[in-house]
Amino acid sequence: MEMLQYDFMQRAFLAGILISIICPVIGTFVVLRRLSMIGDTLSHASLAGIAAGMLGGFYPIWGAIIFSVAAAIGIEKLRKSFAQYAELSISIVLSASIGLAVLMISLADSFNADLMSFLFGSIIAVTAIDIMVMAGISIFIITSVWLLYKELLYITFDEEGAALAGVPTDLLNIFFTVLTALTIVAAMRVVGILMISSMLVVPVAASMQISKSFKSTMINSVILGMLAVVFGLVASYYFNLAPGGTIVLFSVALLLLVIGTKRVILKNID
Amino acid sequence: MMKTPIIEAKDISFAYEGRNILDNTSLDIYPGDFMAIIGPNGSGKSTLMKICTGLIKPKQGNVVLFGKEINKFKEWGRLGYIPQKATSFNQDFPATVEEVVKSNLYSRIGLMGRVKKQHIQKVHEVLDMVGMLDFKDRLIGRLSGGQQQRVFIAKALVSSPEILFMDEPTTGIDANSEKDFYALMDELNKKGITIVMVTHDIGAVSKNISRVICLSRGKAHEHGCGIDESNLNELYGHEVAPLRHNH
Repeated sequence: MEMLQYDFMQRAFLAGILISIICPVIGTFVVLRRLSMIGDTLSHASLAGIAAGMLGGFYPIWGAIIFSVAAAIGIEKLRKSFAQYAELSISIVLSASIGLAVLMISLADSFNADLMSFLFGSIIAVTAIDIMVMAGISIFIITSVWLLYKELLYITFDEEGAALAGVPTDLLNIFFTVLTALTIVAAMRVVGILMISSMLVVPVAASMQISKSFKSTMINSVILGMLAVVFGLVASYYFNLAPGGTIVLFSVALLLLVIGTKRVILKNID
Repeated sequence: MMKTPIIEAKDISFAYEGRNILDNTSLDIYPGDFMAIIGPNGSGKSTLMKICTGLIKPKQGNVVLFGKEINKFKEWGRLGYIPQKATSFNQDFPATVEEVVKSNLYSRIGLMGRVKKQHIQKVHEVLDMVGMLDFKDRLIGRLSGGQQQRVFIAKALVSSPEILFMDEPTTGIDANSEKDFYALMDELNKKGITIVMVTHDIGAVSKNISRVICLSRGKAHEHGCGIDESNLNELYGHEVAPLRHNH
């Protein structure tokens, strides 16, 4: 393929493949724990981190990691204070993150092309350093989920039962939210901060329509996520579109296709 | 020879939103007991069970599990617990029966432990014990309430517990499933598993259970294997007419 002759497209595809694995893997737990809003919250915290990086003159991704991990820990701490209204903790941190991001951007006076590429995603903006950071984060996330799969499944399905069995639920909840924050940081270069949340949620929503177990839900969501990323990047290259938008639109199209096909099959069976 | 209790809850007090739920309540559970905890709504039955399993901390008093203070107790696999709302989980959760039961292998294999062939065999063994092995690949949400309850019992049994706590286990299941449930409980109790259940099903309690604890006004009152009905009216604070079941 002609587009793969370009270094920037090779990097974009490499980044895209990593995103299409880690987003649905983490997204499966996020969706089933009914924490879909957490993606938006942590992505806005990472935006504040990027603005901080631009303001302080350091690699913005480090800023994004620090701010989103801090927000992740903040959500978990607040969740304890609002036990009956857990979603409040997400809303509070979201408000604080947006406020902080706006403040940092105005201080840095940095509403420039670079910031726009973080907001909407960019193919050409992915650097070799970005790829190395993304690969490191992805390896860490995949290894963590592989090692803690049964514990994460347990707290997702029955947190109280997991606590009684001796699973360190408090520690795991914080660790999982940190993994979610890292996933967002790894994916935002290509997909963009404004659309990252949908990459966590939409492939999983599509997969839940057709899967017959937890494991197959995760595997099918990775396959669907990968299809959306590949189609999205190709369309983005040929039609000069923002990759985040095209990837998300392809994943929504796949969701609609899955729902439609399932309805037709069920109708024929009836 | 006197039996040693496996669980001792001593002088437990607990208050919720300023109201005393438990007031210096004590409870001993002995190996092999088949115990029912009954009492009016809000009498603290579920609270006492959760305190005994370490899920909530009492305001006062202490709990000793298998001879160890609860804060030093680590062998959580020796306890099984099926909560009141076990079957009111998200019915669209995409997990199979086998995956649900496997999740409780934690107590056997610990943090980051890998599930091996012998663990899967144990999962199949407990599913067979509760009559659900043929359903192992079905999604949990596609089963009936009675079948789901059996899966949750299997999930608790996979850690080979010595005591099984159940909070209102017969709520929301039909008469046939209830009959099967008590038959299964009898079988498990005969195999040496101590069973403690919170229930409102006073009629069934007197047929199947060896010890009955009635909680009322923050205190525990013990009955034998039958219930003195004349006492119940006073303990419940209103007239109680237990329904008799044929199982």
